[in-house]
Amino acid sequence: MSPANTHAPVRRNALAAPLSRMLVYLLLIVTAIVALVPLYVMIVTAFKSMEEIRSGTLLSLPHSFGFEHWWKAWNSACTGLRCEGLKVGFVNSFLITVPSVVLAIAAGAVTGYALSFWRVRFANVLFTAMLIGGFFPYQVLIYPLVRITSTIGLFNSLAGVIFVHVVFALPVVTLLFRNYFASIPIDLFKAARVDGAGYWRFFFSILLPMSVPMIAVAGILQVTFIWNDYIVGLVFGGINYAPMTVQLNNIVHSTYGEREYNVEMAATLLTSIIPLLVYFTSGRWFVRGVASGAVKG
Amino acid sequence: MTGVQLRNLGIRYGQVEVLRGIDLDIPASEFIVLLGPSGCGKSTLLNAIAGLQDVAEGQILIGRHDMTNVEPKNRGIAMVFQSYALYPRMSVRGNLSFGLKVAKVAGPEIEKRVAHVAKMLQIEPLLDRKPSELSGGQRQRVAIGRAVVRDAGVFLFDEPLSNLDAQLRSDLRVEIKRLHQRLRSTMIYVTHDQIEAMTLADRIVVMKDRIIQQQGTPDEIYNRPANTFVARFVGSPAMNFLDGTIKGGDAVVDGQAVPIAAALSLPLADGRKVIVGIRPEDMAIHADDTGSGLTVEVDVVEPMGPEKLVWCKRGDIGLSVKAPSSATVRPGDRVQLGLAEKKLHIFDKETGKRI
Amino acid sequence: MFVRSPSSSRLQAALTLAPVAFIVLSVYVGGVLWAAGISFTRSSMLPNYRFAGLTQYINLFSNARWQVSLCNMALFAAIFIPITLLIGYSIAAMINRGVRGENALRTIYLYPFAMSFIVTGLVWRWLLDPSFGIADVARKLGFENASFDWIVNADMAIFTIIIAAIWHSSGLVMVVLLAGLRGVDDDLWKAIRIEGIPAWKAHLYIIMPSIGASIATALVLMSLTVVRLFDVVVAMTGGGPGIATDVPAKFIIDHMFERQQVGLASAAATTLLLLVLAVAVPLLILKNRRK
Repeated sequence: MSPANTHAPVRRNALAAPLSRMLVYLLLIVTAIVALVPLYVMIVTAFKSMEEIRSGTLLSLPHSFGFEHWWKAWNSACTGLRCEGLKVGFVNSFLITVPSVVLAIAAGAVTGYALSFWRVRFANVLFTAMLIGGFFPYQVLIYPLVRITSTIGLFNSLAGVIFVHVVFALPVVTLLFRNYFASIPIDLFKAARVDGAGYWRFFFSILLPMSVPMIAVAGILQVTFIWNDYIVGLVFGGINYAPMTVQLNNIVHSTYGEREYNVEMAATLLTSIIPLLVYFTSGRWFVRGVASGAVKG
Repeated sequence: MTGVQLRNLGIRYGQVEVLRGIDLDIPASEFIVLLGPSGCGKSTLLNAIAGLQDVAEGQILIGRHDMTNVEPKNRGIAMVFQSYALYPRMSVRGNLSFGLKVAKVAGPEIEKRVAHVAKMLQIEPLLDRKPSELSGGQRQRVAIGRAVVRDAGVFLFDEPLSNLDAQLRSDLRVEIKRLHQRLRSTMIYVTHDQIEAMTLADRIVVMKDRIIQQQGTPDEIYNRPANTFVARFVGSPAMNFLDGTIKGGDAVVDGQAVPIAAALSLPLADGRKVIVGIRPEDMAIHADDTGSGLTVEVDVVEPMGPEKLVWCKRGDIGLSVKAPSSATVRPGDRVQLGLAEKKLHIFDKETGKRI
Repeated sequence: MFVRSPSSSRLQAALTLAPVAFIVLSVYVGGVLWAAGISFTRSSMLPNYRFAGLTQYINLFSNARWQVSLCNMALFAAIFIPITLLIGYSIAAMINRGVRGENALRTIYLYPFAMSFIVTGLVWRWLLDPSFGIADVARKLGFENASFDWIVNADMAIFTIIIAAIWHSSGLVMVVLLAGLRGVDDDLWKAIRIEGIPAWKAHLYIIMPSIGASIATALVLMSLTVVRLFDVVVAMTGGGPGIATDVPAKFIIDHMFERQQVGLASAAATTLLLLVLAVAVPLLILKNRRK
């Protein structure tokens, strides 16, 4: 990768030297290919037989498409002691992600609202504390959270995993909503007050319908984050509620004897399907969320 | 009909004083304009009347009732905002009826009132559109409609035309004036635009530095400004100011005597420092050798169509003069300015107050 | 400035904030203080409250694994942050010129960010496999002596993790910076062009300073990746070979759960937190002051 400064004179310059223009495209395309190689290798490896993996190369296309490794990854690969494949993890990830995302967004939206439009004592202190909390490494909070969840009887339970996810997601989601609400002209709030709208009326009748794009953005981001989480699921899910990422890692690292790369890659792909699907179907929102939420924060 | 009284109103943001000792009596049906530069507290005052701003001291009476601590919705007011503040996800109809729904007005009654207002403001074809599908002018019309439908005794306008282009602004200005003639409600209108103030107001309140500088009819404000601030702020181009010292009843400006007796009821003592104010249209340009006047050099000439604006200088003093478009002056000409003695405004140099 | 509001609404707002305030107080404040407290005790398998002074910290900093972890984190930050920033900025600057297929390109660059770090680690482990990975591709292309064994080489393994992380994060940084570049006034570009300022100078002295907020955001996001670095190490090398790729986050989890040295792990966690706060708090203050 060479720095842009040698060949990026002026934006949207139709008359820029064709050479520099071609160089830009060349660099962009090469970078894109490099970015795509891992996905490509994942896919082709998952279809190859072990024999083909040994005889061919990493990059060669599979001669025959085998689905049996996919089936094995899904149904019978061993994750430690059990050999039930990823399907259990898939269900667990689903059961964890959906309520966590819904709760985190509900809590974040309502909190952002209370912080943005109403004067509450110590609200700034609370918000600053949340902001700083958002910077905390998870590892610092994990042990206290283990103690808290086991005290209230949620350790190694689905509710416990969800609780921890919501706790971790709160600062980011609140920040996202607070920044969005801060961009709404205060006149709108005044108009609604003159019209007689009270606390919840303003939120539900006016603010929430306006916030659909923000809800989508936060939802997509959180689905991705929570589905992809490893450590919360590892520590709080126990054996029964281990999410897909944990099972995937177990499948790959607990194989004895010859490693089945095709099964590993099939399992890896299966684990990535949901976030990739979300990303490729609503990438526009995803980009918007990352860019706007992050930049303003 | 509802009047509004403000008694010794003070507003603070934390430690910072924004408004101090505001006393204002607005009779029912009056159209009053709060005029001032940005940051003078005029919008804050309007928000306080609406109940959207905490008041540190004093009282707000609307229709003779003490409303100082009453919720906005119960004050019998309606408000129009600079940014329109239409509810973006509701149709125009939804915007007009939201306040009535919150107040639990019966459905048929809502429909009737919305239809009436829509007809009055000619927004009937827009009723089912979303605000994002409307032009700026249409949006502000809807916002006015949302205020009218509340059937309030007092209308509050917070710079409602500032986001519109010049043509639309003058159209809607007329519209608002017509609305006032029709409804006869009390209207309190905030603006920094002196044209709006002059054209709309029964009475103008000029504000600056946390206090009211002057209140009066547009005519009083223009022709008898209470101090140099009001004199400079109202009128375009602004009034010219000349520093002078009294000598023998005249003001001596840059070594030349200017007679000012006709502008004063009592002559001033010799040696008193004054500011002589004169509006650009109250001067006439004569060729250099004709009689008395202030000798100046023409600096720049701006043709404005029906007239010319001539910028003159005399040493450090700059003066703008309105001349008929037929005037033949060129930069560099030396001319005499005849000052209309009766139209002079004499201010105290120290306090800036009118003498 | 807040709009005047009746006390009933303020009470409702306060009630809305109460659960969140409770969580923040109990977890973010209380939990962290408790963990910090534990780091001054003799706690091993279970927390106890026998005061031990700085013993845990002394043990921690004389622990070879912790030293390696810290060094790895510093090395990771020193390489990962500038390279990712450079790649992200270069791509953003090129895309910002207006290229065809921008949407497709952007989608491709950002997709790694949608993948979990576990997946990232596993894929790159496979790609960098000494026998079947890209080294094998090179060999079969005719470079018969090609070998690439960084992932199993104690001295080099950390760099394979850096490569994987750069792949994962470059798109994100690019998107954040592109959003900043899109906010640069078109007239500024015109002025630069009319003045004939060389491109690299324009970027370095004019454009970069004017998108300072975006760059700061990218830096914050990358710093978070650095301190949270855990999953990708677990998936890719398991901290190995030996302890060659250990990182603080992994050190903490291992000592907390597998080795059951809660006191030592808490001391490590507290140290990590202080490091983070030393970076984050000045950043936050700076950002708020600018507002």
